[in-house]
Amino acid sequence: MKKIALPIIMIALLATSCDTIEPDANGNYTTYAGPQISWTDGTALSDHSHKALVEKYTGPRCSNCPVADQALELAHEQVGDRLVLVSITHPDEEPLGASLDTRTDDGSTWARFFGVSFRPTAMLNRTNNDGQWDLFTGSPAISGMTPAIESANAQTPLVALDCHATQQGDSTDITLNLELLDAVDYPLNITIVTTEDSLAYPQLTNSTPISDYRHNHILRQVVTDLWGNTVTTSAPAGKTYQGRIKVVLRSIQDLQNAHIVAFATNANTRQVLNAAQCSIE
Amino acid sequence: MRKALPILLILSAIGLSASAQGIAGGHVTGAFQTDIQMSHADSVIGAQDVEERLLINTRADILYQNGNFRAGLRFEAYQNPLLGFEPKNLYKGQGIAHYFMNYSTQRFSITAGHFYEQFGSGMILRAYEDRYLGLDNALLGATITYRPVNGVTLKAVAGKQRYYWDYGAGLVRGLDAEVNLNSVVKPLAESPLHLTIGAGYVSKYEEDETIYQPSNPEYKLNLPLNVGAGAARLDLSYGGFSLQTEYARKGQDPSADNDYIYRHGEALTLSAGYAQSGFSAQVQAKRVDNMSFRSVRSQSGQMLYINYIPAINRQHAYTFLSMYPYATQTTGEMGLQADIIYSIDAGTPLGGHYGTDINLNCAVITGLDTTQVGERGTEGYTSPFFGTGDLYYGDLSLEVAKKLSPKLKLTATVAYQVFNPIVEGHGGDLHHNAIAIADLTWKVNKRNRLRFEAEWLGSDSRYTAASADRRAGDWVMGLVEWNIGRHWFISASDQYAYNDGVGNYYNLAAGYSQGATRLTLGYGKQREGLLCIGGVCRQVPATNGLTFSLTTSF
Repeated sequence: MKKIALPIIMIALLATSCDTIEPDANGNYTTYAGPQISWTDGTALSDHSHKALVEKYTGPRCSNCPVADQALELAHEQVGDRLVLVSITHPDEEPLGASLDTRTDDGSTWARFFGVSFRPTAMLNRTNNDGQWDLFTGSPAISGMTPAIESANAQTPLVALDCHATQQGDSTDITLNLELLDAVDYPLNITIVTTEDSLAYPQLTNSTPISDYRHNHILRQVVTDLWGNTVTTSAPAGKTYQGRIKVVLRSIQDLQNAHIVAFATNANTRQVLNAAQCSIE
Repeated sequence: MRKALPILLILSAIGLSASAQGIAGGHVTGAFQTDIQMSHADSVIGAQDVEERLLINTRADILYQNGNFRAGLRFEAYQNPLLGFEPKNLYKGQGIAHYFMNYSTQRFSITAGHFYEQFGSGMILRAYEDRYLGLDNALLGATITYRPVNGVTLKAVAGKQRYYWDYGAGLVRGLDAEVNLNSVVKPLAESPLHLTIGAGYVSKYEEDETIYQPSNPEYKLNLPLNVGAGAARLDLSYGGFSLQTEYARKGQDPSADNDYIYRHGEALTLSAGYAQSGFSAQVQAKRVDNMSFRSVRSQSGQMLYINYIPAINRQHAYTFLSMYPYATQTTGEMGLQADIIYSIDAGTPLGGHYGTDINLNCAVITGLDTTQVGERGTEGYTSPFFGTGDLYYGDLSLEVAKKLSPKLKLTATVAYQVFNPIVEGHGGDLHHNAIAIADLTWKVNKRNRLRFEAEWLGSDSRYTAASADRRAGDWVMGLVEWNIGRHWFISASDQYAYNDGVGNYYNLAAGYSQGATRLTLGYGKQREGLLCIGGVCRQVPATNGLTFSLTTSF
């Protein structure tokens, strides 16, 4: 027995020398390795308003989606720049024919994470009630979102946020200004995405398909990690930050129609605390 | 590798041993081989001009043994490497490529330096070399074999794999245990049932690197730095029946071979046979799923494989039967082979005066039935265990060997093969080939023997400039070989594409052998294609010119 004890121990030791990598919720065995936002002390912001983030899951084969588009554009007209829209093409929405495919891996990950299967579906600030994500499912529900948006904007935000973006050659410099309006004792994350307006590609409707439907607010790229870069995990109210990041934007067809959208989240709850949108100058 | 220190150590060890026991107490053996090639351009067969004019591969093995102690080294020179030993810049060079010291007793053996090793059928570890494939994945490190009791063998290995004139970055560690139950379990000692079981585990370590998802270039793969593979095996025989099976499983191993997916790997081989006088039958099956296992994850080609997936299709020797050889698909394949050998007794109507030997072989190999579930950085695909995919290779052959008279022996073969070019990494239609071969040996007298070989291949493949596959089309071949006495041979052969193909490949060869020394001189053309040994293949380019080979041992 003694003669084989040592080999058995060696086999046991060797058998444990095998790494096991766990996938994320989307089945990816990856880690964000892109550019990080560089944070320094900032200055207080003059605008402490809350801007609601509405993420709409849509797609070219969703015949009810144009109705939801119209409803949100109407809400945008009513609420003004205190509504930030991001239109995410659902992973199941294959492009029509050989047209532009606006699905993104990160958008697909979000759709799966938030349990979005029906199109159109919208989320307001990624709120969660008793473990259920608040989803506005179907164009009638989305058409009735305006009161909820206004209610969210009526509350005092926990953080104030604005953004500026300038194009420098092939890269884009994004500057974020952040002010804590309440103390933070959780991971405060910032996610930056790009959206693009006036993208023309076919869209099914309830009547005739439109071959050059103008899609707005389409998510083109998540610039940071899809769950955001952490600003702080603990800081007092009144603390200010300035964040800078230089990125090469992918997928954008026309910079004139592109926007930078930034939103602050509580990384523990995923809830959006405030949002900002800026054009690229 | 080319530094002198290791050689000095070995020479010192030999010197110490010699001074301790006297050089007369030990003995030195060795082997030498040199192959020389001259080739010049031929646009018809696609042979490229060779600027060096003379290409030489040389190797010399020296082995010193004194009692329980052995030491050896191998000199290799590729100045410059023969055509087909690619990439040329990595093969090129000369020096001591292999050196080792070993001390062995009945119970114990330890080797330091380069060594070759295999666990089971090799599905988790096979360090070996094949000079004709230009393949050498010897481990440089140490290995210990220990036999604590009769019938039990334990092996431990650790080292880095040879990579041309350097070593792969990955570290390979492994353990294997094999138990012959008839030796260990007393009630089985005299049993006609023979049982051997074994199990092994191999782990490789490689440093992290940055590999991005193509569709999401901000995300890098979380690579496992330690990748393990384990296998269990059973070898059983009872009377004329035999059964060998081995199952191997590999952990997450994203690599260039599988496009960096995280699906586990597994392989199962099964071989069952029955043999009695004049008859044998064997059935083999295997399923291989994502079992490419290398010490460097980014490596492609034939180098730095830690494991070996055994081939189960018949390894043919005749030219046209092996014109479309099957290369084992380590990323995924399923295969089934049946082989029957039957000897019809002499004096029967079918056996005739001298008897007849019949060999029927059938092999079918397919891909796996896979469903894509993601790209690089994901599980990659799913695959039901018994699902089959595209046909990769089919081979049905019947060989009849019959002695016609005391001086004449005829071997006739007919075969039908289906070949999917995807196994060579490119698309295209399946090739269907019918082949017929007659091989007649005539012992003219005590000193002279003539062998005639006629082959025909009919294929539905067509040569096109776009595909540039010079195997395509219908072919005939003739060969005459004259063995003169015990020392000389002369041969002449020609392969000719008479329909839908291109090329006329004539060859003349002569050789002389004396004891362990053999000289061969050849002139002619060689078609480009794959040279495969045991399912492992090397691309061989077209050549047109002179070859010379010398082998000897002492």
